[in-house]
Amino acid sequence: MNEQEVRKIYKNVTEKETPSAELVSLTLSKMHKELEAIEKEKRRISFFEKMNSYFSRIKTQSRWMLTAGIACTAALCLIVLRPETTLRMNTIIYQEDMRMLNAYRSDAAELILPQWRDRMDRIMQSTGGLKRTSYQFVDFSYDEDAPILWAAIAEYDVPVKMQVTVSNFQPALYEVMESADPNDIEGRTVYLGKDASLGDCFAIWKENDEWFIQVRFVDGIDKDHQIKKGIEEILNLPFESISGNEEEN
Amino acid sequence: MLGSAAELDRIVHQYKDMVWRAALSMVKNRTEAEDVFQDVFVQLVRHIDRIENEQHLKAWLLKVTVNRCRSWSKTAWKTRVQSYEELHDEAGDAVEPVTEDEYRLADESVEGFDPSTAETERGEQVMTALSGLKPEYRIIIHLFYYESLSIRAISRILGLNENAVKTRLSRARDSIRRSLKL
Repeated sequence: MNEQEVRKIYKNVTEKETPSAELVSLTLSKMHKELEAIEKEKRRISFFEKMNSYFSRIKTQSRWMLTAGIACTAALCLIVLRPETTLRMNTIIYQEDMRMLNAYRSDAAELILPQWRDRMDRIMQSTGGLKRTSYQFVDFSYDEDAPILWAAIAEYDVPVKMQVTVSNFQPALYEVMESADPNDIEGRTVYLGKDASLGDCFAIWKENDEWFIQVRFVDGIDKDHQIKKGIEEILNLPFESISGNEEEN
Repeated sequence: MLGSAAELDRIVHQYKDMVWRAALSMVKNRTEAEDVFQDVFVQLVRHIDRIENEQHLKAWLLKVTVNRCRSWSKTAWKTRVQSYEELHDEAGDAVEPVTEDEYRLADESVEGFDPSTAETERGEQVMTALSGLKPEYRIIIHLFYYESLSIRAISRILGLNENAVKTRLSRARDSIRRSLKL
């Protein structure tokens, strides 16, 4: 027996060796199960990849959405809080106004309104308790000059008509009477001061022997009642009787 | 396409004999060969995406079969329960059962190459001579003579260099010659 014969014999014997049909069937069954499991896993991974991709996109978009949301919220806050902000700003302006008014009283009044100041001082001394009470009662700290003015009017005992107008906030306006003579204010609008927190300006003028006071309020501030009441107390006149022009405005 | 169930069926039917015979040449036991056989094809399902073409598929199947047989031989059970042939192989003795138990083991060890199927007495002699070889030698003989693979292809499948394959093939031939007294 040579090598070729050995090879041939080996081949012949080996050729007869085949896996049983049962083994092949079992193997195929296992393979199909494995294939199914792999496909299921692939689908699961695919699902998560899709979800991951989706959330990635959302994440990118959400940055814009978040930015837009913050901007909207900020805008909304500004809108909602604006009155308060305005009030706060007005208060600051008011404080500034008060400093200027104080300066006006102490310095400018010395120069420009000596006669008025004397008269006011005298009237205030005689009726100061009442005025101060009113002062405190209506919290007229914002228009300290007004009682003085009204007191002066009361002293003159002239009929007074009050014109109340409501307007939006306007820039602070301080026009001091150029003339020290109260008679010169006839027919003129005289700005004695301005309270940014409540009214624009107080004006007083005389028409046909009637004195007019104009009080202009900042729109939206509900202190009309207090002011009206304060005016009534200060002037000792029913507000209605002196506010003939209110409805017109 | 390769990953479809129908394609897997085709591959199994086309290569089942090749895998089975290669496994038998190494493990020499039908039960072990069955395990290896199933393992190889289940592994194929998991790695089917990496198969490039038919030639690659054939080489892959043979390589995985060899590796599975090697892995099986390294299991705890196998290391504890050595076959009769392996015991004698390690001692360098001739294959010749001496006790009833050893005889049974020896008979089982050549189950893959059922002597009853051998056409002639010479066939039995050849298979007995082959069963006396180490598994690493048997697979080289199988791949070289039966699958008609080149030394280079065998070296790739076994993960050996070509010289090592040549050396083992030469030793395997010498061993067979000695056994058959050629």
